[in-house]
Parts: sequence; structure tokens; C-alpha cells
Amino acid sequence: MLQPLKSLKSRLILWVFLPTVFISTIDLFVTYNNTDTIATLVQEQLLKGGANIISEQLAKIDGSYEISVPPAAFELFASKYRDRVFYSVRSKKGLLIAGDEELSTYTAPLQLEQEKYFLSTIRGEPVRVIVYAHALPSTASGDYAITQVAQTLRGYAAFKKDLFLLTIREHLLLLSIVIIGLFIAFRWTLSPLIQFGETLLQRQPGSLEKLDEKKALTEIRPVIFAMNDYVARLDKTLTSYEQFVANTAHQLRTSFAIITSQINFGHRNSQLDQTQKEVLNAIQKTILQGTKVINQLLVLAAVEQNRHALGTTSSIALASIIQSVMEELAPLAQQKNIELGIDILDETASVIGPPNLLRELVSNLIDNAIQHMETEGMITVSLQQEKNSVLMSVVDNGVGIPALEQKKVFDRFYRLDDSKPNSSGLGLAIVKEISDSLNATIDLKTPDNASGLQVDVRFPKTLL
Amino acid sequence: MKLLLVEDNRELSSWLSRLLAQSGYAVEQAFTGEEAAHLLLTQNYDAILLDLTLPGIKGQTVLKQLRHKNNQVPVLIISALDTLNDIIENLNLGADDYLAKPFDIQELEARLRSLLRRASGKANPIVACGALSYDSNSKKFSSHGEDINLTPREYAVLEALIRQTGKTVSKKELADGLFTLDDTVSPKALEIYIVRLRKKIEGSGAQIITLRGLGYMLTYVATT
Repeated sequence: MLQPLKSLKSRLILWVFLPTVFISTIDLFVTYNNTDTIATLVQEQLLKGGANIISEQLAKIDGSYEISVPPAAFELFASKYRDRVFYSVRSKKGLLIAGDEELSTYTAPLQLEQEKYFLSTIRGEPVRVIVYAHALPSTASGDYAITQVAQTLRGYAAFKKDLFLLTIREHLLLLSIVIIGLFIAFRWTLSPLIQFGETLLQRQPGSLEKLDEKKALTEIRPVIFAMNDYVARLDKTLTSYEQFVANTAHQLRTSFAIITSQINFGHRNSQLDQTQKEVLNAIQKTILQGTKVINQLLVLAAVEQNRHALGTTSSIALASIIQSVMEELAPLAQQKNIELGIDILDETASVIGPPNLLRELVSNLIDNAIQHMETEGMITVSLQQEKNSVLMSVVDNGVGIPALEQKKVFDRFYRLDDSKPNSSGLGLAIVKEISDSLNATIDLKTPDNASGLQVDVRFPKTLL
Repeated sequence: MKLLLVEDNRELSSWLSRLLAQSGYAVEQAFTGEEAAHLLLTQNYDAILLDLTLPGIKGQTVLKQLRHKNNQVPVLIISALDTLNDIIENLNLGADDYLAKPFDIQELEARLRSLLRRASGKANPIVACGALSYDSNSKKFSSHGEDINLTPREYAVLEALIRQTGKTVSKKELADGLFTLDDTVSPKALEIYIVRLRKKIEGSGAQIITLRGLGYMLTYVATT
């Protein structure tokens, strides 16, 4: 089965080139027939000339025929093809007056002063023959002689072939012109389309930038219009989605603020027994957890926004972010008796990205390690430069993540262990999405010679 | 102390007012930007607690107008917007501090006290971390109001740490601070001071945390 043609180029080639070839073929066929007619006509003219010269020399003197054939009659036929020429002059009764026996007597009816042509064979070679009845001028009795001149078909065939070759050459020239024309057409006509395709390919994924429609060709313009319209609507949808997230977050935070102030009030103004205090503290803890989830959802929304925003980010030393995040999370780690530390901290290692997102990435990565340590342990952060990347690693000696679960941990709201109330299941999703938006890669593995988890984040190295 | 609380959520406003009133502040409430602007024309306050997302005139506009009139009353933003950009933008507009909702009343009152002190032109001589406090005038540390006895070297270490509460101080920095007191401070010796200090400030909520590879940090660690 023929594959449906997927590219405009191949379609153009098919629908321009094939018909041209088809027309060319028909023309060649017709021309081939014409060349035969022309070559025959030329040979017939020659034969006629020869027959005329010969027959004019015939005279009847004293009842006998006399003829002297001049060389000019044969020079007429001279050519490089070495055609053989035969002639015969016969009397009305078929007696050979002069010439070759091989040209047999012409028996078909023939009118005076009229020639006829036919094909025959002499000595095994095809010949074209002219037969011509010529009235003898000196006799008034209506006596006539029949002259036949035959010529082999070598010159005729060569001439015919030359004519045909000439036509083929013309056709080849024509086809070349068509091919060159097609090539120019591709370059000239299709190049805006190809460029358009390339422009689309080169756009950042998720880009909401509008395409320039002023310079575009009429045929492409509807596509650009449609795309710009689509982008505009998408932009609107995303903006309203972001607005929705922001509003929701605002509402929830305000509600949480009310509950917090109510708890504060309760703590301050009543004589609470131990159970009541515990309940209030538990509510407060839940509020903190809820606030954390809201903040994380806002971060995720910010990541989305960052993807669509035109990148105006600068290069930032990651070491300072890491240190400040560690200082912030140190009390949390201390509560669980987890020792936070660094191994290597390359202060010159810098990456490109919005500072708030980089901070969230680092913070969620370390926070996640703290949350998932069962008991006391160690978390070690390192930052170093590789050949083409900046590598940040967070290694813990906790329980680790089973290989089968390693892919799922990046899903939103995925939890390894549902019994952990402090885990929102968003931390690693945030890490992953920020990494993706910054073209960084994440690898999870079990650290060398130890249990636990090692998370490697590789940022593309900034060009200084 | 007279406060203006600009908050459109009436329930939150009422609970906050009750809490602040209990702490001895006279609180006036404004529920819209217009109300706030009007009150600010006629009244003087010691500090303003300002929400940003208000019906009508936004909090940012109220703040801008206030500073435009050269009114330097301390303004503490309380808002549910807390991206880095929001914070920077509002501090640039002339806010003195920023607190994201939801917040604990203790945190709010601590920020408020610090704002009021700054406004009154008195530098705060007391640095606190949990129940641990340091009086830079008397050069004394106390925990829950009781003085802590420290050797000069311990004092030097703890002072360096409390001046940068919540920040790491490198071992080298700490050792350099001790250099004037003792010609040679070995890392081992520094560790011993830290161990002793940890014992002495136990129970204050403040803890000296080791950040391996970075240094030591004094910070408040809530008990779980």
C-alpha cells in the first residue's frame, strides 16, 4: 500500500512531476510516429529526384531504347550511411532496358507520369522503392517506360533516429527546467511555511507568546490567528485559575487566622484542664499543617506561572540559599534529634532561576528528608560543580524509598506512609515540578555504603 | 497605646481586638480602606495593623497615602498574600513589618512591641530567644528571669550566638571572638564551651544547634 503523502513537498513533486512525465511520454510517442513520416517523405523526395533524372535520359531511337545514366543520379543518394541504390528501367512490356534484374517487374496498375512508393527487399535488405511510369517523348504512340529506383533504409533509419533523439533531448531539457522550477518553488514558496514550523518547534514548551501575523503569508495567517486566539484563551484560563488559587488561599488563610485567634483567646481566658489544652494545641497543629499545604499549593501555582512567564531570571549562588534554608529548618530537625549538616558547599556554584522557586526546591527537599526520618539520624547536604551541571545532593540515613515507589513519590499527594500526618504529599511534587521548570533533573538512589535515600538534583550549569 | 486595626473580616477583627485589648492596647477597628483613610485624617495612632485586600480602597493605597502625607506611624501589614514579591513591594511602600496570616497572637504582639519601641526611638537593649534573654546594658543572660552564671569565655560564645539568633556562626568566627581572651582556642575547647552552654540554657526553649560543616546556631526550638 502507498503511504499517504505526509509532506507538501512530496505532494507537489507527485502532482507536478508525474503529469509532466506523462505528457512528455505521450508527446514522445506522437513524435516517434511523426519522425517516421518525415523521414519517409525525405527519402521519397530523394527517390523521386533520382527517378526523374534517370527517366529523362531514356530515349527511343530507331525502335530501340537508349539510356545513359549520369553519375549525378546516384550522387543524389550519397551519404555517410552507405545506402545501396538499385534502379531499373523497363519497357511497357516489362523488358529490362537498363539497371538491376533484382528489381522485379512492377505489375500493379500505374498511371502515366505518376509515381508510387512501396517497401520491398533486395538481397535480404529492406528497401524503399519508387515506381514511375514515364512517357517517352519521342513517340506519340503512348509508349512508356517504367523506372524503379530502390534505396536501402539505412539513411532513413539514421535520420529518423536523429530526429527522435533530438526530441528526447528537448524533453529532457524541459524536464530539467521543471525540476529546477520545483526546487525554486520549494525554496521560495514553501520556505515561509517551513520557517513557521521551525519557529513553533523552537518555542519554549508552554510559551504563551503571541505569533507575529503581520509578516505571515495569507495562507498561514488563519493558522496564526487560530493559535493566537487559542493562546489568548489559554492565558485567560490560566490567569483565572491562578486568580482562583490565590483567592482560595486568601480565604482559607483568613479562616485559619480567625481560628488561630480564637485558640489564642481560649488559651488566655479560660481555666483549661489538660485535655482541653491538648485539644486546642492539636487544632493549632492542624491549622499549621493546613497552612503548609496552602503554601505548597501556592508554590505549585507559582511554578506554573513561571513556566508561562517570559524568563527574566538571573544567576544565583545556591550555597547561600541552602545555608539559609538549613538555618530555618534546624529547629524542626532538632525536635526530631536529626543532625543537619553539609559535606561540600561550593559557594561559586550558581544556577539560573527565580530565587523564590529555588528556595522552595531546596526547602522542600530538606523538609521532606526531615519528615520522613523515623527516628534520629543524619541529613547531609552537598553542593558541587560537575562538568556540565551543578549538583545538589541531600543524603539521609533514614528508611529510604523502595525502588518500586521511587517514581510515584513525585506525584502530588502521594504518600509512602499514610500514617504520617505531617506529610502533605506535596513536597517532592514541588521539587519535581520546580526542577522540570528549571530544566534540572532529579535522581533518587540509595546512598553508597549505607541505607537511606540520596536525592541528586542536577541544574544546568550557567554560562558565565 | 492606641492601635488602628484595618481588617475587612469582621470576625477576625473582633477576635484580634479582644486579644489586643486584653494586652492593654486601645484598639479601633476599620473594616474598609475608606474608613481607615477617614480615621487616619482625624485621629492619631501609635501603630496601624493593616490588611491589604480590602473592599474599596486597597491597603496598599491607604499605606501610600499615609506615607505621602509624611505620617510616619509604624505600620504592620497583616495579609494572606505572602509571596516574596508581596513582601518586598509592601516594605518598599513604607510598611515597617509584614506578618502573614494565619499568625499567632504572641508573634503579632512581639512584632508590635518591637515596632513601638523602634518608633519611640529607644534601641532595644534586650535580645531574647525563647525564655532566654540578654540585656546588653547589664551584660547579663537570664532564663525565665533568673540570671545565668557564665564564665567569660562562655559569655563571649553565647553573646556572639544570641546577636545572630537563627543564623549560623562559624566555628572560626566564634574562635576569633575568643582569641582576645585566650591565645589559643582549640576546636576541642570550643566544643566544650558549647556543651556547657547547652546545659546552662536548658529549659529556656533556646538551643544551640550544630549545623555540621557550617557552625553553631542559637534558635528557639518548640517542645513537641
